[in-house]
Amino acid sequence: MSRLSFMSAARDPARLEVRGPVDALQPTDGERLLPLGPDRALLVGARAGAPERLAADGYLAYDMTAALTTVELEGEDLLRRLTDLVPEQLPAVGSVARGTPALVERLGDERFRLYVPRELAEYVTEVVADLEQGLGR
Amino acid sequence: MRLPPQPNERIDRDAPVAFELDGRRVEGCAGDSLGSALYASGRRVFSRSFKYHRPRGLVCCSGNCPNCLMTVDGVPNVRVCVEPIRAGANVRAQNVLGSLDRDLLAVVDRVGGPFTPVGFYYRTMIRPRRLWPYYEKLLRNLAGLGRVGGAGERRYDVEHRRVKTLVIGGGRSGRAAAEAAGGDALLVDERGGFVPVGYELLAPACALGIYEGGLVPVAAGDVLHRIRAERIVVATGTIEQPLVFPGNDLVGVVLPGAVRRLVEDWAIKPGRRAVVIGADESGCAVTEQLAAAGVEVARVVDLRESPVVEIAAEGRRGLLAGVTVDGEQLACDLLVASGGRQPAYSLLAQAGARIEYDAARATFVPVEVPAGIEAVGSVTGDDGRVAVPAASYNGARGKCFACLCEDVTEKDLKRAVAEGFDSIELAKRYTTVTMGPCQGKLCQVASIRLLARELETGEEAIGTTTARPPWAPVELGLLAGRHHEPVKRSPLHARHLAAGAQMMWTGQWQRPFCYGGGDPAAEVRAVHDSLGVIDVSTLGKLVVEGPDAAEFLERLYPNRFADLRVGRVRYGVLTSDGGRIMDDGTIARLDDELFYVTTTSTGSESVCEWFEWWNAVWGYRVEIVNVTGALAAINLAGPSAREALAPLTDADVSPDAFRYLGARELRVAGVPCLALRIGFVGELGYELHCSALAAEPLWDALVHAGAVPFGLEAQRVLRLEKAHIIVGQDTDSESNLLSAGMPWIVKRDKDDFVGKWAVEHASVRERLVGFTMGDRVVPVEGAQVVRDGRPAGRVTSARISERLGHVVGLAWVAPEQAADGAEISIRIGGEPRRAVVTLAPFYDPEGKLLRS
Repeated sequence: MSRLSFMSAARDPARLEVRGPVDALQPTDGERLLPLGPDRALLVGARAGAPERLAADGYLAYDMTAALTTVELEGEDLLRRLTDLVPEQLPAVGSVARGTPALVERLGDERFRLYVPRELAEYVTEVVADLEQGLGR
Repeated sequence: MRLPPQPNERIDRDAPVAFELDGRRVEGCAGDSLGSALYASGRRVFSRSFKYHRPRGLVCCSGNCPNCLMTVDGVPNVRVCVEPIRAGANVRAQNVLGSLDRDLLAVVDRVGGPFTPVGFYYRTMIRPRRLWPYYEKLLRNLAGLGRVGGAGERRYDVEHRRVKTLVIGGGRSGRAAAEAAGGDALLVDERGGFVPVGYELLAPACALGIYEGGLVPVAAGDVLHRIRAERIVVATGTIEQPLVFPGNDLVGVVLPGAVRRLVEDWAIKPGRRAVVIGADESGCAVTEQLAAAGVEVARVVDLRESPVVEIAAEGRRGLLAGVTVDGEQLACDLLVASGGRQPAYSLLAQAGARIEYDAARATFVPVEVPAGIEAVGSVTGDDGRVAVPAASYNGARGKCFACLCEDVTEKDLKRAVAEGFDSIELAKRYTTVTMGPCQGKLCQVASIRLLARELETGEEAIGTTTARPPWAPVELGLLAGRHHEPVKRSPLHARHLAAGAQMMWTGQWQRPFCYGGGDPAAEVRAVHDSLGVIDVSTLGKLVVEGPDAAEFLERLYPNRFADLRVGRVRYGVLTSDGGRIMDDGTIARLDDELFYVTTTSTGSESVCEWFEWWNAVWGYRVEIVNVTGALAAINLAGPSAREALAPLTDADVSPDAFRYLGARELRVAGVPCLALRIGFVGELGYELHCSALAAEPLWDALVHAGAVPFGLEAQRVLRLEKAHIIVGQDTDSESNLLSAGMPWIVKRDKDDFVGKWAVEHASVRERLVGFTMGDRVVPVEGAQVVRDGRPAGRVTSARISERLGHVVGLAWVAPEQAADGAEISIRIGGEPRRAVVTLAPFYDPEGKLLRS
């Protein structure tokens, strides 16, 4: 079995945490590289064979598909109640819903995607629903 | 009472709005505040004072003073002078016994004076001591503000904003600054009512403070805006200051701003006959508004031209009837008295500006405003010619109030000085001057001036008190925001619920206490006799990888890891620099440069940070990855664990092929797993780590194979039978490895490890030991271990072991008692009971079952 294969479910890895000089990394078609910190990034939409390709280029990659849940939401006003991240400066890592670490990216004008720890995802969606109520939606 | 239409009035006379005050209907217009509508309806007494229950009326009409605090729709302490009118509002007087006009507690003002000097409750009500709770209750009922709890559930939200320029205050200078800054500017104003030109306006809204990093919380209705700005422009203007003289709190003694607002904004005639005393142009110019409103002006005293020595206001039943100025008696129902305007510097001071006394203008002004913050307009102190008002004008006997919020008089401050509380900070704490709802807006300068006079020094020598948020009163609910409590759910959460688990909190995690049967003892039996399965996905899980990984772990842990062979697991305890136990877990070596570390359920983040921190210090070539959420972990335990596992996997799990403390990657029921042969619960066991996405099929397969799910309670009994500790339960922040009975884990011959020096020099003042008790009475966690009638330790865990037929537990005892067979005494329900110390595990002390 390959390295840390127990971390991967049967299907292809979709989200890989990459360690190494990520600024030099060129994602292939359909893949996107979201910054996590210095020399750290999340490769989303990763294709089959991505771990091997990254390893060949000297990067360390960890399958975080199961670690992260995506939550999508509509409206900058809602985002502003959820986090102090700056909507104009996304993607970025910060805290949402009182201390839940999250990577937030902007998908469209008013559409945002959050990557949150799987174990807190249900809680985050509860908070989002509550905040929507506060905005009268 | 309404005047004919005024040029800039804010009311809509065609839109009547009705509400109730203490059950009586009051009608105002759209554009009124609750306070202005009440005033227009003829109401003059708005509240009763904090301590003396004296009648109080509108003074500032700007939301600065405490005189108009009322309870609105159950929300206490609403400043009705600035609270917009709303139909159907239920307005009630607060802090009265009876009604606003007839408050029975006003007796304190008449007879209580000699008995209630400043700080009396520190002196006269302390004996006998046992009566204090009754005194306290009495005082709390007599004094104070509104009562909380009547408003029901109210929703408050928090919103984050980033702006380039934040302007606080919408006066002339503030608006000009916002216009100059243009599209990126946000202006925050307490009133609003103007049209923004090229910038964004947030009103009515109040900036509560300026915190580090340019964070400005702004209260706007039910939303707290947390605004971070690159540039903050403070244009908070000035606050008119009252004069101190006998009767200066009578209803009808007002500040000029109140007259301006009543007349210009709300078209209300403020009184019939007025006397004006002013120390600056703005204070004297109020005659214009009075004339416009048709108020007869009996006399104008311009303190700049004609300084006076004595002022005394007289009243009837708390309402102003006349004033004597240097012997001249003037009948009036309105006394517009002001001692000039003080720059509202508080926000600037919070941001770090220095506050200096400007003797020429008799005000405190902000200087040395820090970078990124600007002060514009009258808050800078540039405000025309003023007269310096006297500290007080003692024209007659009677109370001269320095502080309206807390009913602090000139006499109280004199007394504080006489008793030695002669610095402004001490006098503040002793008399509570500046500590009321106005936060010093109307009393700070007055109290400084009085102190300066009493101490025969200058205001500059007295200085100001520290400016702190909040700048204006704010509901605690707004600061708290929504009540959201993070809940961590394991990937098997739905399975636990489906199995009828009783869930419990462990840190932020929700975990099964026990399952549907509600019988943890049966779950324990299943593990001992056949097979159990527990979800341990909450364990922290870290991957440590890189050429220096082995050396890194070797240096972090007190025991050895460099010599750990690939495919083996070892227990490890992390110690702090001080040698204290921080966390524990297992470390498996998966490859030469690849380790898999587990931590306690609550320790994953702190251990990860600890690792990252040391790696940053040491600079090893190591990556540390927190994979806690990526993986589920399931512990299969019991004598038939191997028989259950074998048919589910192709791998050879025979005792020789997969030995105790082995680590192997294998597939179980088709799910790729990392299997660790370890056993927290003391039976043959396999801890299976797999992708969180595959947790449910793996769990189902194990349950299908006959494993009985067991919860935390069963696990706690099982681990206690093995005397396995839980860090944080059996240890605390003082525990070290020697006192916790784990000296074998400390490899003193290692060059170094975190906490080595401390462990080597640690003294053992108490020891963690196991104990048994013959009968079935279980001591509570925290029960005292007593020796010669004195406390000599405590119980950290105790349960009945059905398997062993008696109580087993762990306790901290004196080192002399930490010997096999030693008798100790544990206090249960006040009675000492006998227990016997056992150093080895209670169950399977040689660990034969684990190794089987």
